[in-house]
Amino acid sequence: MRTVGSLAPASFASLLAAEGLGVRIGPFDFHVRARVSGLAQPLQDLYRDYPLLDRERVFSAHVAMRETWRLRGGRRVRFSVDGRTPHDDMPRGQALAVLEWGLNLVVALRFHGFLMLHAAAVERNGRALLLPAAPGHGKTTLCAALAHRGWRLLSDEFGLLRPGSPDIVPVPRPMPLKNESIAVMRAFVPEARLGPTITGTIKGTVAHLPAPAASVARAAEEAPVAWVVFPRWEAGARLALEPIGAAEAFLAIASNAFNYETLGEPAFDTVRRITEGARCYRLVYADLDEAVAALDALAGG
Amino acid sequence: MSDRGRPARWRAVAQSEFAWANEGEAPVLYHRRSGRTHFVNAATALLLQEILLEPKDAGEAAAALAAGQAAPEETDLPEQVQAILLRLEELGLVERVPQP
Repeated sequence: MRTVGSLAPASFASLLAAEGLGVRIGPFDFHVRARVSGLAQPLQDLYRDYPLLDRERVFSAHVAMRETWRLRGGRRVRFSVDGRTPHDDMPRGQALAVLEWGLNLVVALRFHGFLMLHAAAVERNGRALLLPAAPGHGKTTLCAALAHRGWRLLSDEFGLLRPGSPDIVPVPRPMPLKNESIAVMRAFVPEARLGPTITGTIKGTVAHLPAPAASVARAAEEAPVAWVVFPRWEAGARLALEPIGAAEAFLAIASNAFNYETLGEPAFDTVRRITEGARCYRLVYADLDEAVAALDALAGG
Repeated sequence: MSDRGRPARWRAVAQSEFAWANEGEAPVLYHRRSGRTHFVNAATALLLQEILLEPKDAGEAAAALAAGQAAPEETDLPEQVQAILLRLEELGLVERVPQP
């Protein structure tokens, strides 16, 4: 199987800008075409382990990005999916982040065949740990740490489940570290090769941590949810991992979903299966090592 | 109160409209007709699943609820049940039935 990294950088850049490339990301087959200077190399680095696809197929979505120019605003990039632009043009220097957020947007708006939770997910010994959280709660940082401490990355952004099933469908993607968490993860995983540091985005400074190669290679292996942990990073907080009841967990999971109301009863049934089969907790943490150790203990217990 | 000054009688809508989760602990109800999810207490679940399978007024429902939960019958329990029934009616989970 050919991967993105098997292409010579010049070939990758040429294909990306001309006819585009097919890439499998979890259950999705994306066709990506981008003509933005400086984007090809970091994009190839982040996706080097992902399968390349031939073009003779029906893709899940065709995404594209190109440069634009404004009298006021200067050079910008325009993201489009299947020929439509879902939002305004963004600064060109943020192209990589815009493309990544664009892919998130496509998943969130398009693929209602899945119940989509705003959650990270990792796996160990065939059982999944689901980490639903609101933005800013330290979900991605914790997920990135776990993915480099013996857990398999399933997703840092989407907890995807087929309606009626408690199994997480992996969609491992580069993890967008933000602001202080960039330095935290550089210290936590010194060997990690982060993407370029992108400043001034709507979420502050962003740098992407690639998904571990082993997680990408096992992206077809689903895993049932065994634990649901609602994490919240809080400066100076003492570690607390406390069980919560099934009804509270049900409410929190349903509220966290992108498309609970859209799916209706299949979503209810999916959340019911999760809360019936998983142990649910609330986690408050300040220290990443302590949080990882607590979740390791949870999985080992 | 209903027509002719007699208390209103209520019954749960068809059980086929309901799907339940976490039964017996902290019940969660999915109402198929409205597509809404409701977090209810054990008393409300008892009303919807058992007591109001047959039409009852608030007093009868309160008495059945007190018996079903082996709880002392509070003096204002019928008023509390009446308030719950009105709310459940708003949500489409119970309906009024004509006086016999």
